[in-house]
Amino acid sequence: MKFYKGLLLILLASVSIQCSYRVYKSYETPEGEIASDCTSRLFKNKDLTGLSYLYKGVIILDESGITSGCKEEDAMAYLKEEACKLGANAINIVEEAYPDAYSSCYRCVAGFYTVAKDTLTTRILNTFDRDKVSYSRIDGLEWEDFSIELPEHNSYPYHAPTQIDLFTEGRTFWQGAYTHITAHAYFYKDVSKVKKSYQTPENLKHVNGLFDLAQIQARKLADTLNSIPSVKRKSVDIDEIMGKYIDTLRTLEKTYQQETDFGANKMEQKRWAAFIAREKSQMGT
Amino acid sequence: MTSPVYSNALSLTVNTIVRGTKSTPLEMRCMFTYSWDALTGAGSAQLLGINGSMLALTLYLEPEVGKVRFTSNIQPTRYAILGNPIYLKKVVLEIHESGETAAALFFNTNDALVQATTNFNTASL
Repeated sequence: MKFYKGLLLILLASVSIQCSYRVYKSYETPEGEIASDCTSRLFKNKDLTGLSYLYKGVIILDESGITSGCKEEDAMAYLKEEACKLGANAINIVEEAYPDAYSSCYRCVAGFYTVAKDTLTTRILNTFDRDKVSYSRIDGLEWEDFSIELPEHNSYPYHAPTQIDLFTEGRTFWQGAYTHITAHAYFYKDVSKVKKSYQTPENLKHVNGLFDLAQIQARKLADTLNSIPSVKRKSVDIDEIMGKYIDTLRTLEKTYQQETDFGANKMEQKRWAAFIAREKSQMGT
Repeated sequence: MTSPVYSNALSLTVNTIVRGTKSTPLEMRCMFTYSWDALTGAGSAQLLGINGSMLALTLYLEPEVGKVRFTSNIQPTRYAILGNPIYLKKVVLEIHESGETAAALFFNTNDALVQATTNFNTASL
């Protein structure tokens, strides 16, 4: 399941004129002409973790009760027009439902982004799966997992992007509640960077601490979600809760890096290692 | 199959010992995704997880006649599956022209124990 950000911040409901969808947006559509050369790439469940992009907003195209003008091609045309109005060059459909017993319309949830056009971002967008390490790998991260060498003059010694993802028992936004949810931390090899001089056994422990923090938050997230009565576990609610845990993780990561000075402050590193060990033991990880 | 790009997510149960001995085969519900472009011959797959424990293990394309075969290229690696450690050496996913899918998992640091789906052709091991 993919996390779509900020959905509940502003929900503007309207029935679109161009097609017969009921449209919910997390943004206000800018006025003005659309550039004639406007193009956008369409993705489905593309994982953008660690890539250079600017998030523009999310949209839900739901059935309005009118069952014409709501085919998949109508939805795609509408999404592309919205992307152009927002100045976005990428549309990422994170959930979709084809006509079924519930509706005769194609429905979807999509995010809009302006993604960078650098070589690394383009290459990753063109690949089917992200190259990442699961926390299920018992022996943790190794320096070989970092795919890009940072120049020695760089202001920070490494870039170790992690993310939490959910595994749900296959229902969608339109079909109702999820029955069982697990959450899991991943380290993104394909965008990870490290300086050569930083690659010591001690610093590897520091970096693995970062991965531990991600898994600790993942387990806490799963526990929270599974404590919600299953009929209430809808996508939108799940994504809101997930967003809070990811925000907490990002704050923890930043504090960890600042207080330990990327592992150079041995006293602080020891204190954080004890904190992480305690959290892991409480959660059985 | 009409589109030149085939992609899918599938779940396969790997529960038959095809090499080695073990009193009871492990029941492994494996979730895969794959994408293969029939025109360019490019593609990749991923073993997303086993029994709900997520692995995200990338499998690389090995073109063969009559089927598409994806294989991992990892060193023997320890993974926790539902809290239990296992050594995984190699993962194979096959998509046949007929649409039939099969998979095999190689355990431990050698190839002594291999489990597969019941339809896996052991001659290709």
